Amino acid sequence: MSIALLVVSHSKMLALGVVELVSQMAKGVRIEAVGGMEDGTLGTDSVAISEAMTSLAMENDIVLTFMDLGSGVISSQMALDLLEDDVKGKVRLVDASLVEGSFAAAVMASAGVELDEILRQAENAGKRNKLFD
Amino acid sequence: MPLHSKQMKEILLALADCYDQNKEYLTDLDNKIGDGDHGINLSRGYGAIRGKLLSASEDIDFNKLYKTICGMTLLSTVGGASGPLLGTFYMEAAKKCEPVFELTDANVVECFEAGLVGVMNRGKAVVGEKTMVDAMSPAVAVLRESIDAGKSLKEAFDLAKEVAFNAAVKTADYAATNGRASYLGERSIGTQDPGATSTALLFEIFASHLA
Repeated sequence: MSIALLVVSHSKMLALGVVELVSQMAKGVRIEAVGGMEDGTLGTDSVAISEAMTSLAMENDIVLTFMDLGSGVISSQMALDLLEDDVKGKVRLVDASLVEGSFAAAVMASAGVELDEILRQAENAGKRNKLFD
Repeated sequence: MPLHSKQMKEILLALADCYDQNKEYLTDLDNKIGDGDHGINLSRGYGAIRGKLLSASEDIDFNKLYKTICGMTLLSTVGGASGPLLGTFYMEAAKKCEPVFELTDANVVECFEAGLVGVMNRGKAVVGEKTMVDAMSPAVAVLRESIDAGKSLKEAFDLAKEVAFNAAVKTADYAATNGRASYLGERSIGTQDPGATSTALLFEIFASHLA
């Protein structure tokens, strides 16, 4: 089963940066960014998100979508409602920290881990300790 | 008296001008308790609607007007949470109208009711959380009561406008528990909600453009 990731942010730079960071440890996993508005300002565009979901779903069985704050989430939920049913069935919105969650999911997907385990790891990734002192 | 799609076009054009004029006011409110882009976002979104309306060579039916011209345009141009929220408002409204050029008063109210339900579902919002729903919900209820009581659409919107403005002002008295402002908690008290305010403006524009 091929799993792709979509990173949604208000900021194009942030979305691209997350993809850059995450891709480094996730060879063979398709990861796309969608962020910002057409005119370069901050924001999320449901139509652009739905197009990115559709394009990833054409070549993959599952599209895991990671979102930043506020309208990143609402716009992604809206994007789901714009999808054709066959695409919609492949897309999952993941309730996870953007950086930690997408990183965990990409590494797991790259290692061929099962979907349920990937989702569990991604959802818990933001809760891991960073400081142990 | 039915609402004609030509009137609806004038209302939408007036709304675009209204949000241009109130861009700074709404953005100032949003700067205090949000991400400071509400006025800019609405001005850009309705500006895009204006562009589509002015470039259309023929009359546009209500279904297309709500679904494509308003709904899809706001989704792809607003940027903040208002994009999917208002986009949903219009797309749910569109489901209540056929491709017709006139809506009865009752149809107009049904569209607003469906839009409100759509916004509440999309934003997982209820009244009292300091969001646009706080103005929209009581205003739509007044539209329904007024039309059921045999009042004209103009009278209904005049009453709904009053209720929406009062509700928007009242949002200053309590803390946000939904949306970006909820990160501020108690510190959001004292500022009225930009979404509730822009919603009140929408009812005002309807009221002032109906005869």
